[in-house]
Amino acid sequence: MAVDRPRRSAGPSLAALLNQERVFALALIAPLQFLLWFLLIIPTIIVLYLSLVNWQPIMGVDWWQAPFAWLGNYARVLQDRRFWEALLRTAGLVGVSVSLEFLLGLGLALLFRQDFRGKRLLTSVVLYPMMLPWVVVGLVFFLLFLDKGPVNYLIGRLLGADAPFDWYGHSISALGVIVLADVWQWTPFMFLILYSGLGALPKEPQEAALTLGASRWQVFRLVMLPLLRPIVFIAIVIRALEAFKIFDLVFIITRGGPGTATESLSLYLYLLSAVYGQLSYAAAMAVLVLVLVAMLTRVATKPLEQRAIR
Amino acid sequence: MGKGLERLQLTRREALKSAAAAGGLVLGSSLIAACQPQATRAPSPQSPVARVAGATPEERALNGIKALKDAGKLKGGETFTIMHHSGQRNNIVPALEEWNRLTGLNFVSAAVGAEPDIYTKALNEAVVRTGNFDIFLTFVNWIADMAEAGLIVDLTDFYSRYDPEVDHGPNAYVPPLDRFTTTYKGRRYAVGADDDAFSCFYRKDLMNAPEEAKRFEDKYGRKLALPTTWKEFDEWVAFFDRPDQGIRGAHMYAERYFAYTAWASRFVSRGGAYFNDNMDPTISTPEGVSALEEQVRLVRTHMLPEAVTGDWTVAYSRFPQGAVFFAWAWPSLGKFSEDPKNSKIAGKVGAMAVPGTTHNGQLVRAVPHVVGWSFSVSRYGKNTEAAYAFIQWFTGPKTGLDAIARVGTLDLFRKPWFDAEVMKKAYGAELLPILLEGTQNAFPDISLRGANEYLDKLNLNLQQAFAGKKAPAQALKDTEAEWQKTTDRLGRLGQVEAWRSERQGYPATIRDLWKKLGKFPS
Repeated sequence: MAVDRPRRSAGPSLAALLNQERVFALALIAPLQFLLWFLLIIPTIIVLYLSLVNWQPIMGVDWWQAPFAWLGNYARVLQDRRFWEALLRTAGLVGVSVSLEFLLGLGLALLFRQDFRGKRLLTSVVLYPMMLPWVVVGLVFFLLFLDKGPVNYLIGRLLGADAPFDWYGHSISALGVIVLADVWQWTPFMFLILYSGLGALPKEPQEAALTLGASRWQVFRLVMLPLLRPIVFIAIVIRALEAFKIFDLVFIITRGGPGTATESLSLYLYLLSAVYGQLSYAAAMAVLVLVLVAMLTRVATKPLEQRAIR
Repeated sequence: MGKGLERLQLTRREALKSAAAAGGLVLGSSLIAACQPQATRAPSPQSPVARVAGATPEERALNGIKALKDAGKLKGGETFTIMHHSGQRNNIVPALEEWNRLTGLNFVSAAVGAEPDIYTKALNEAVVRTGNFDIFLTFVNWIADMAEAGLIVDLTDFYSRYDPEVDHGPNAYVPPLDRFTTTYKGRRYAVGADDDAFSCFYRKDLMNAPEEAKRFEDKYGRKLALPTTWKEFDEWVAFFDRPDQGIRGAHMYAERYFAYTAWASRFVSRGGAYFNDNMDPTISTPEGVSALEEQVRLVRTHMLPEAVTGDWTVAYSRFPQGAVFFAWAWPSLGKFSEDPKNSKIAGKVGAMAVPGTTHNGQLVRAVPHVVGWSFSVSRYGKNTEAAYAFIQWFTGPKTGLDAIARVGTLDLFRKPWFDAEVMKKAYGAELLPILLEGTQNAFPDISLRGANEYLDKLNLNLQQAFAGKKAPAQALKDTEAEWQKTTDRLGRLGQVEAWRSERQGYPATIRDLWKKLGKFPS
């Protein structure tokens, strides 16, 4: 008579292991986590390490053999006037351009809520600048505002005088050209988000308010805007974070000049790392900027989180 | 379900912890691996042997390859990669085909579109050491950075064995190119492949108009002639500045990258030097400040605003369009402006020597050699000697002449080429003797370790002065303060050694002037 003997095994089988919820969850998460480590965490750790040493490739030693500067690079950043100027300039650029983009985007979104002939075609036209490569946008605006460019030509024709304005020779006007290019390219992004948001708003409260005698402005201000607030918030935060990294337009249009008058933080970081080769110093600056932006984002998104909790 | 979720959240947290530990391990092991003793950065090729046989640099290069193959150090078909700028493709690629045919090797071109990217890619290679590149064709003033980063090989012994005929014999380079396009701290790290001495071009038709001569004489009390000094030059440009006729006096770079060129030319011709013997900057001296004041006046009064806010291409658009009377740039501007396809002023372009400063009756011209290209050999390449042999062959008296005569961004640098018919055809017979004289008076860009940083800080401040944002003296003082910081950070002793060596690459006339002025007693 054959007797069935239980098979002995050294441990639980793979199937049994995977049947355990904890192990299964781990197995699902692990590949992504490892990928994250390689793509994000390890480079971040290396950047942090670099920021604590004194290293440039041209020093002739490998980065892991560089002498420690500890917080020396950070202290240098805090004393670097050019850094603070670039930071404030970038913040100003973000403030002005994102505000303009929001206002124009909202205006366009409200306009496009109405039905009119050619609306579909015009929607594509409005979105078109966003699809252009930045280098094209930069070059177009650079050429527009040249000394002998079309803008000066038009001004000359209008004023009847041949006194071309040197747009890139003055810090305010040069910054103005950059803001204009940014607004032209990124207003469609605001429009797209706000238009989608407006389309998703419930109709009933608006109709109820109108029935109760509210004016269109009151409906917009007291009903639509509060409902739209989370969307507005997200659009502004995303765009502001993106705009804070502005490099392309500045690089193409003014290269940061005259002098450093239009230099953005990203351009300064690029110069430090790619042109001067001061990688440790640039790393310290990048870490400080990252911390600053993270803190600002945290503060900015807090109301949204509180609202979500409520 | 809720319970399950809670458990899953807990598990996820633990999973994160585990992943963190694993990541730490990975990083730790990477760092440990990285900290293992590295292969010593080999010093220059040691133990020089007998010179390679051959009558010309090209022959010796080919014989060297044959010897390497015979010794089993090189296999046929082996691939070597040359990193260079896309503008040199036409100079290099046809030569590569010929070289590959002659040697049975496979040298390939890796063209990079933007010049600054070459620097970044080269320094990346110094850090990551992929061995993907064997030869670099870079700006002359990057040699120091590449040498200090351990990226390129000291070629001094190859020079001895192969004799590229750089500084002697009938085929020598025009001095001082033989020195400053090849040398760092007294050692040969590169082989020069270009001449970027700035050249002056003007509107010959306006200059030769009889009515202009009379008007000029009435105004300045002397005959209208090409200016030889900077003082004469300023008057000459002012005279031909006719904004009402749509033509401005001059275009000279005052922008972000080459703002230093005109100022440096005035400054050095007055006996100025960037640093003293201990690497303390000496540009806010009277000769530096007066040179900048004059140039600022010229830029703000007689030039288009684009001189300050444009880029290097402005000279190549405005001068051929006839929008400026005078322009200075690389020698190629002459060729470009004489081509009716690009230019409205073809046939009306004159070339002249760069003005200078008179010292006790002797005219000293100082011509900026702006960037320029040199070949160097990667330490991490497959076979440094074979790579060197190609460079020597490419820059040789015969091969080089053919390569440079083709349209591209490399210009002629060996002295006999200035008499070659093919070059007269390419550059115009009028320009060549002027270019030769300019090259003999050419002085290098700052070519120390950190050259990019020194030059960028200078340009930044000069551009502010040209834009009227800073007083000239202040701009130079601010530059000095920045330079001091750079020098201290990079190590003053090493920089002093490099600067003392770099000064030897200045033209003899300028070194003599320094001596007369009591500079650099050591």
